[in-house]
Amino acid sequence: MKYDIIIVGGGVIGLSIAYYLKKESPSMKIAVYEAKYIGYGASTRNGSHIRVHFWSEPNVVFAIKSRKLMLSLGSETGWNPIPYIGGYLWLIYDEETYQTYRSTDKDIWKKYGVGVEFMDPSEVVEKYPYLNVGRLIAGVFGREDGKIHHDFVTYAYAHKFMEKKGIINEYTPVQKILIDGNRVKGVIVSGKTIEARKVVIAAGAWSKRIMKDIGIDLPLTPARKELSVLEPVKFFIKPLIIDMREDSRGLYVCQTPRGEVMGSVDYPEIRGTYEFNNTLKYLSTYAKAVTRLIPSLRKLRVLRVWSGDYNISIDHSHIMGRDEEWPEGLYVATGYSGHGFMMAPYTGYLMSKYILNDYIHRDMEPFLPNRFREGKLIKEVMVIG
Amino acid sequence: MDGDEPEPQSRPLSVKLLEDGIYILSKSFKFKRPRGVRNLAWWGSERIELKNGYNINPNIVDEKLINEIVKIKKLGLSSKLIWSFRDSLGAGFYHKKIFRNKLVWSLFTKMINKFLPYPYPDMSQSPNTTYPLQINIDSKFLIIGGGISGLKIADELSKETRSIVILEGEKYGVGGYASLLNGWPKKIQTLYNKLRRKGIKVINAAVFQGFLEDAYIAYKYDTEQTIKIDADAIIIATGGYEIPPLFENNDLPFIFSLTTLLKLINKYGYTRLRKGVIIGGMGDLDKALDTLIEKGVNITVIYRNQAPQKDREYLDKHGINYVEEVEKIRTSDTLRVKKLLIHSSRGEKLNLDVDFVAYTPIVSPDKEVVAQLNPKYVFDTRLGGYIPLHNLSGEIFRDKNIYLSGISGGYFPIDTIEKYAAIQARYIISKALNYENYDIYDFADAFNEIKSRYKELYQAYVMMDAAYQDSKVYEYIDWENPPTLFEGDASSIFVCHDMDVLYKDIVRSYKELGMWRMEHIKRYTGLGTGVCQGRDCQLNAAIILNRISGKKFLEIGIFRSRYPVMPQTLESLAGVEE
Ligand SMILES: Cc1cc2nc3c(=O)[nH]c(=O)nc-3n(C[C@H](O)[C@H](O)[C@H](O)COP(=O)(O)OP(=O)(O)OC[C@H]3O[C@@H](n4cnc5c(N)ncnc54)[C@H](O)[C@@H]3O)c2cc1C
Repeated sequence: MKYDIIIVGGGVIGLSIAYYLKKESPSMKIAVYEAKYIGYGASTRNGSHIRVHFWSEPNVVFAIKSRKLMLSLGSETGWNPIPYIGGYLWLIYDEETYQTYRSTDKDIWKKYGVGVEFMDPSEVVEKYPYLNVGRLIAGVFGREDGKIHHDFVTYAYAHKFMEKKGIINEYTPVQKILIDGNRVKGVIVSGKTIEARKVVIAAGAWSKRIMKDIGIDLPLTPARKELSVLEPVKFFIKPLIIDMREDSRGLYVCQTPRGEVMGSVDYPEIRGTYEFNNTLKYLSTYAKAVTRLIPSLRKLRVLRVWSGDYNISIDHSHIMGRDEEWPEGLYVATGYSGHGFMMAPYTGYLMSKYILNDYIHRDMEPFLPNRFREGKLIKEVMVIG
Repeated sequence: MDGDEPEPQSRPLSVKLLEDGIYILSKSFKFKRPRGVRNLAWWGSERIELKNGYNINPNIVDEKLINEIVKIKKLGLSSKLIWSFRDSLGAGFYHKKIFRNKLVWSLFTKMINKFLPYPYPDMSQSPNTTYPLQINIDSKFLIIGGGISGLKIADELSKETRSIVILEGEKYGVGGYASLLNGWPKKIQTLYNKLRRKGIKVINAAVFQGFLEDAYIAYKYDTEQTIKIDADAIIIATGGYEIPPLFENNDLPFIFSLTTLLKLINKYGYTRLRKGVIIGGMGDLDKALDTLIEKGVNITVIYRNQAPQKDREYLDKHGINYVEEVEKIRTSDTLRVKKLLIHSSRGEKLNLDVDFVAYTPIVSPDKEVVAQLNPKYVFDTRLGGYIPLHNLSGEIFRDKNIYLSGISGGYFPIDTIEKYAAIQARYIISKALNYENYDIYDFADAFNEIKSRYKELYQAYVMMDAAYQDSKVYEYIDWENPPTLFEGDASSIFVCHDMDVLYKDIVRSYKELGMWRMEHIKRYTGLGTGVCQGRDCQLNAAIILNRISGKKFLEIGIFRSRYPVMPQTLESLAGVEE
């Protein structure tokens, strides 16, 4: 068997790349190899949020364009991913953070037309009477942000890719990347060699291990995160709310279109694990924090819990493309640090251009892997959850 | 409780509404059916209070909305209005072309929000109150389930240690199915009192919530407290979990298993079921009928073949109508009245108005009679009760002392269960306490005996769990020949009663998108993402997928039904110590 391109990993990133590759070049022989079932990784376990408000310019630009593609996905693929743009609301409790938001707004967000709204505590209380805000300094509202059904985006890509004779193999973990001299030769699956001219590693939290096997060390750390939903109630939490009190441990909470209240906290962080279990620690920490912020949730009941991995890179920004020092034909798209779902459409779009035409768009340049070698890290700190 | 009669349970809302002929309004517009009759009823009557007759959670009140709905109900429009949304969040919905239009979509979402009978949470909650405190259990043995199996095992174990705690999910009483059948039987009373005298604690209203990574917890739902468990060995004795059968027109169920019937009538005090048909077969029919006669329920029993001698004597003695050699059954239902047409090969014809049809287990000799009701698929129960057994896979199962005990009391005579429990208790003692030369029965032999005597039933029980793992316990499953089921036309029957996933949604997922893995069906249709977390619907869905795709169960797979078993309040979790 010989392919033009093999994609390792059937998450939203791998599938988006597959989708755009096939769109650009329908005759190409492309296969996705997925260790379990498509979406098994973070792609169907995430919070399904999209936002444009990052703290670094490259991420803001990337996210804005990705959002645009995401919103047109419905008409493009025929899958309605139920976009809901309800905004993000950050609750800020210290002066320093406040100033950072102010300056980022002035220097970056406004520049790209996504300036945020600053609210003083009384405004926040008036607009969101259900919040117990404590000693709030300010609220920051980003109106472009919202959510989109993550499963449907993942399936839309897969479905359309397969319609064009793209091949998706499930329960077929890639055991090894084959390198011949300074070229990628293919992959090994179930002990068999499958040849390909190009191989794209989009294996989420597993990417580090796969790359390490061929001697490339990416600065990535997987961290398990847990999420839960409460029984549905009438829609009242309109934006995604992020409580930035130190002891709220990065609490975020929102409501899904079904009315279920969904949220998480940043604690405890379990590193490098692939067992998608849940803990009492998470449940009790989250329960304490969220009932402090929204006391009316006290009597609501937890319906469901799950977990998935963030794949955190050293500068909290993704890694895409290739390093010229790597074997030829080897590409990555990984390290999305908790925001890969929203970045998937533009990733797929740019990666397809790069893989097919060797074209490096300026928007993707900052995310190339050589930034670690060259010490050109992205100044991104905004990781939510 | 100290050995007196268990207190009668007040009727939960679900039951009351049904009695009034009103469809359940629970969490969403989709849930007009008494989805998970067991679940709802079981959530405890306190929490489910009648407010204006139509509220479900006393902590969540939206009077205006309730009044609106009552108005709509009175106009008789409700079912139309609600039905028109019925597969709204299931697979059928997203794909409807019309919703790709942005305007239509936004109007539609607005409308949903307007008409959703979701209540608002209680906004008056104060942020400053304290949380309910956590309860700690520290014992050698923890037994989950106070049915005959759990009690009997406790009895045996108590010969070795008194450090035993029993968690019972029901709010009052113990005895599980045996109590359900016989009220508060002497045997159970004696056993219970004996255990009490020995200082063994039974905690009622305590539901084991599943296996979290860092803790085993249960939920005491009457006081809304988290129970943290520290035990050397855990014994799961939660019996069987009833899986809703897929019958046509059964979305407001009137066809259910005898177990469910007894629960509704005997436990939850459901009084609207006045007359019905029982499809006879096996087991403790006489005891069940005792209970029903006592409650004044009018019964007709039907048999595919001849009634067993034992049954016949009983029925004659009590003057109960029965029909043998039934050939044909047809149902029709108008809005309220269910009609049943029964033909026997002896030329008898019976035309009945019924409130219910109850069947004894499908493995009974009379499954062909059940088939006449044109069921799509029927599965009664799965072993292990409501506990997500697959969480026992891997290292937890092997390294920790966790044992599965008991076989559904509904289908086996009490003596069999007692015997089995005793054997198992001794096995557990030898293992958990590391008794080298302990005199144990040959566990494997006992196991095999049950396996062979009740082969088909047993296969049905474990099939679902087997999909999770390649654990040795399940290796006898005959994958090529799964339990017999009835064939029928695909139609609009509900598979997932929480998320309104229809049979045809599953068929469509397969036919149009080529989806046949359970994980995909779950994500695409929403199946199993409601309260039951797949406990109700997965097995049925797996069978449908197996039938339409020809894939094996192991390939189709089963997703995890995680914590919690019973939805648990946030404040009870906030009360957990750091
Ligand atoms: C709890 C949580 C909440 C999140 N919330 C958001 C959010 O709100 N918004 C947002 O944008 N992002 C969010 N994210 C992040 C987002 O989910 C991820 O960044 C994104 O899904 C990454 O996609 P991926 O395709 O790179 O990885 P994955 O989805 O993890 O896919 C990788 C795939 O590779 C497969 N694989 C692994 N090894 C092999 C192998 N050897 N051979 C073949 N296949 C292999 C895996 O099985 C897996 O399916 C969240 C993540 C989590 C965990």
